[in-house]
Amino acid sequence: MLNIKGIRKSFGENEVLKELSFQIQKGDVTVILGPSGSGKTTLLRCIDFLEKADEGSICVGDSPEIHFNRATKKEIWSVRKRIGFVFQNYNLFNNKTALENVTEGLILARRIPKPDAEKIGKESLAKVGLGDRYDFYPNQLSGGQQQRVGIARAMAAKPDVILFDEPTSALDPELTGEVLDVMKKLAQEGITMLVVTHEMSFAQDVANRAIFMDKGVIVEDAPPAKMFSSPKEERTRQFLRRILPGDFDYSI
Amino acid sequence: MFFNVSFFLQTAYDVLSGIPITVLVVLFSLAVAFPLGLLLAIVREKKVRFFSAAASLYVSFMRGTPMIVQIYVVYNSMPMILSAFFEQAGIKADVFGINPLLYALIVFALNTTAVLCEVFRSALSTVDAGQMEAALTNGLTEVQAYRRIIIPQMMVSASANLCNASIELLKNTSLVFYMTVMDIMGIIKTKAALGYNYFEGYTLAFLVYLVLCYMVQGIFRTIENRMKRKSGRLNSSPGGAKRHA
Repeated sequence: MLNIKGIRKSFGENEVLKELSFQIQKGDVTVILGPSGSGKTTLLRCIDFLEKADEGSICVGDSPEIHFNRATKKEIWSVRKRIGFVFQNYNLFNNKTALENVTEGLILARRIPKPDAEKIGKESLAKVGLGDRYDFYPNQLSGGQQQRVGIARAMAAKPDVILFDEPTSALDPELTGEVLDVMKKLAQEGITMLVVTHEMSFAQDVANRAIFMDKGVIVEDAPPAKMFSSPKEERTRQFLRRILPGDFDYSI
Repeated sequence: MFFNVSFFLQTAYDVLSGIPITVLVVLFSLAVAFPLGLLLAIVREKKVRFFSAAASLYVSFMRGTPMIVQIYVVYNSMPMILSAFFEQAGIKADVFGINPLLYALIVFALNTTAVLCEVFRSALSTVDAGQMEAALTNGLTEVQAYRRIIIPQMMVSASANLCNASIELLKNTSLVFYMTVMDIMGIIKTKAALGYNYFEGYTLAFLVYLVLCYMVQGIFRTIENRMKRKSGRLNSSPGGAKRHA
């Protein structure tokens, strides 16, 4: 489904991703955990060509293998069409209504006729619980609502996989819940998701795989329950001890 | 009599024929500078190799020299350069018969391009880069993203400075008389010189420019309000535009 091979990325002297490879199967909900500066966000951004990785290749769905450092515009576009991206700070188009935010890409990039795009857009917004907010501009929506529009926008085009870059980090705890609920719903519908998050409850309850990253490498890769209860690596253990309250007590 | 009212009224009537010239210089300059300035601003913002440096050099060159000097340089050197060029090319042309208005249009268009480049550049930075990234991840091309997302938003924040620049431009057009173009200022100065009615003449000029600038402000206020409504910033009630309801 999603196959990343040997991805490397440096910012000047600082090597952020050190030859990292992994695969994701269809329907997988994978969380990427790790301390800040471990390269999680950079990894997601490289996958969608928001940063140009120095080495490595990507394969999404049935697309051919595409090399990060010498992808043509067309190849980049073909990858982006198969991937949805949800940003930490939503990045909604401020001059567009909620519905227009969702339909913009459908109409312009995928050339779906406007009436059809609006139908898809309304369905997507209804799915994230914003069926009554089509004509609201981003500045009229709460943070949680904005992020749900962001999710609706990412999933409207039925991408092969949706990348979530810390989708709840900019939200207060109350609003975090509504966004996680939507993500949980998507996961249950079998949508393939790769989620960078600090929400351990989400990792615990929804994900079927957890990848722990540190200093640009994958340290541990296991089902969340297994990783949280009996981490193999010392580095994972240290991290979890800080992030899970109590002695591996995961009532969060 | 201290204030020659009949001269004032007569000249006020005569000045009307100069207003189209002033308006032409302003509109032409803006029409050229708007797309070019926007392009230069984007080129500088995106740090396109070579072009970015060239744009930056151009802007400092234009901003670093007084308008009046630019006018004199173009007005005095262009005919010589052109006649030398035509002679070399073997074309017979009466270079010195070219309407000086043409030079005025060139100088003001070039100068305004530099001014608007800076206006647009500061406006571009008010739209956060995340929206461009979001547009790209949605499959939009960069051109589509600029056209549909970035430019409409930057124009809202640019409008106050655009108004400023337009008013500045309008006032600067009073310099075209130095190129013997008969604009508002040109007409007034010539008429005033005949009977030494400078006080009346300059009072008139003062009022004419004041009214024109006031009109420019009015136009921009209308545009600004419309843009703000369109971009949702003025909607006080949620869901203000019920287009899909």
